[in-house]
Amino acid sequence: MVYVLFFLGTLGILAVARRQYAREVWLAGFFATLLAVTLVGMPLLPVVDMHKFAQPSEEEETYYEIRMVDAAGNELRVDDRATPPVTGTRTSTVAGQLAEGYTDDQRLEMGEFYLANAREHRQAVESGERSVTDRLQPPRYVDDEAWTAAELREYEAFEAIRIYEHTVVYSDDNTAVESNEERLRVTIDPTDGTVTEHEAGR
Amino acid sequence: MSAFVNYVADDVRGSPLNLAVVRVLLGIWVVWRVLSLEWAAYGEWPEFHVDETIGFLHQELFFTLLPYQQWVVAALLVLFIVGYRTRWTGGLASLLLMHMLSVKATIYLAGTVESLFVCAYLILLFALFAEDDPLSVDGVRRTGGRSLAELNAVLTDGTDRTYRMRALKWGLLAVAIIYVGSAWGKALNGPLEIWLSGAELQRDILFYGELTGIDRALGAPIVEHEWLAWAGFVGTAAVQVSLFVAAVLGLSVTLPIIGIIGFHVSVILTLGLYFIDMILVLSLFIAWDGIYRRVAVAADESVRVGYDDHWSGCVRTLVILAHLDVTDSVEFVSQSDAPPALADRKEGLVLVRDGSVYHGYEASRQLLSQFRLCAPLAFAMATPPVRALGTRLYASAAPARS
Repeated sequence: MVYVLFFLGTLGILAVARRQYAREVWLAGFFATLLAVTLVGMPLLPVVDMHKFAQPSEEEETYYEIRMVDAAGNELRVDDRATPPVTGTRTSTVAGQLAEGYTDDQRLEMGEFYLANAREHRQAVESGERSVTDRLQPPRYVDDEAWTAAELREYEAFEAIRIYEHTVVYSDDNTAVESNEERLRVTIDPTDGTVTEHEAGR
Repeated sequence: MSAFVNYVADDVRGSPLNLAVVRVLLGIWVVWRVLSLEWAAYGEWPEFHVDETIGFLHQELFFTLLPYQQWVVAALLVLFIVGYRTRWTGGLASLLLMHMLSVKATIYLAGTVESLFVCAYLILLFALFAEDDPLSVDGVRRTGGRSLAELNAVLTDGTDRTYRMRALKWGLLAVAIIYVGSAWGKALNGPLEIWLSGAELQRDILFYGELTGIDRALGAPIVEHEWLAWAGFVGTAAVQVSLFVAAVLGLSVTLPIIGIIGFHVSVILTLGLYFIDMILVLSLFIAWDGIYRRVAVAADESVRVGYDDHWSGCVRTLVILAHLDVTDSVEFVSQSDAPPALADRKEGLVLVRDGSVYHGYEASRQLLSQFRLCAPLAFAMATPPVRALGTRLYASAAPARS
């Protein structure tokens, strides 16, 4: 296993770092791996690449959204701060799995996970407490929209989550989004233990 | 004098300062980052939410340890920052951090994690080449292991002191390769046409606008003008590749690094707050010694210092100060071959500036004032209570004379 080998090998090299060729061997191994990983675009932990925004976009693109549903049936977009360490693109992947990849049991478990964390995070936002350590935090990776206490006051208790599929179509000259159609895919209600697929859309 | 240093072309500097500055900046940044991540939350994710390719890292035990390991890493890094036993404090901190990041990556390998991996590589390189770094606790400890003759040689051969910075050499090369990868990734995955129009960037900006529901300051103009989007897309690839090219060809890396930082800033203005860690990583290669030379040393006023070459405590302290003297503004003369004006067998230290002669405690104060970094210290040493205490301490530290 490359992973274990890397750690043991590095410890060994650190121990004999002053011997001739010890560090050269480590450097050769590390840079060979880094080059390979960079060329192929697949991280071999703990060696990573940074192929970012590397997937070409299509004329039409799909993403998924998770929304909280309260007791009255009102919907609120999820705040990724509730479920670290994910951000928008990852939430979209998870939501995509919830829409079609997971079994119903997995949907319910993930639904419960999202709800529990959302409730906890909601409480923290509503109490308005920001500890000293919170203030000392570095800026969040991707400064997306956060829930506000005022916004949350409009909602009753969260009871379920819904997964929406969005289809984005760009205009011909790519200067605008021509349409962003949303389609309700699944409602997951861990409280009742029900999963409802919405095939026909809204 | 370049603003950034191409260590790949030449890892020798006239001052050891850059290593120390990078070690401190990098260490503080990573401590802050590590203690801010929500390590305890990652283990709460349902078990089936795993990147299967690294599924072996998804162990209950690993997740349980994460919140405790962060404090171990932080403690090791504090020792790394001051340069205490760098090979092991830095080495273990780096390895432990890489393991924690790998475990986190089973949930989500985001840009923050990748940037922190880069920081971990740099820390590991510092550990591997720990002996390059004299402005550290280790550096001070090492003077104890060297003979007086060697230390005296460091002081009296003053003018051509050079320092290797291998950690920064290999670190810069690794960073350069990673950026080539950023450009290469698009060539690897995309059709050739994406290089001919700005559509790719326009769509990315539009897509992230939809996904996050936030309009970015620089987003609109780029989306509206295809040539701007094209310039942004191709320019990004150009600056990302240019760092590697400049580094290995031995050219200045100043423009490539400023270009990449510019690229990061425009990403923040068009897509969101991504990769701020990489701006720090790139800044590490600033020519700190150049800045220091301009602001921190009173270069126009050179002094001569006569010192007792048999007084080991004094010699060891002077060696550290000599490392800070990037403009060679201090000429050290050992009392064994000093002219009478610079010899003071009783006080041990004599300093001559502009014809004024200072002895003992006052000479040490004048020497510190030579370096603006130490100016507050020199100022404090002039106040009566500190002077009274300092003079007595100096007298007791000075070797007894018959």
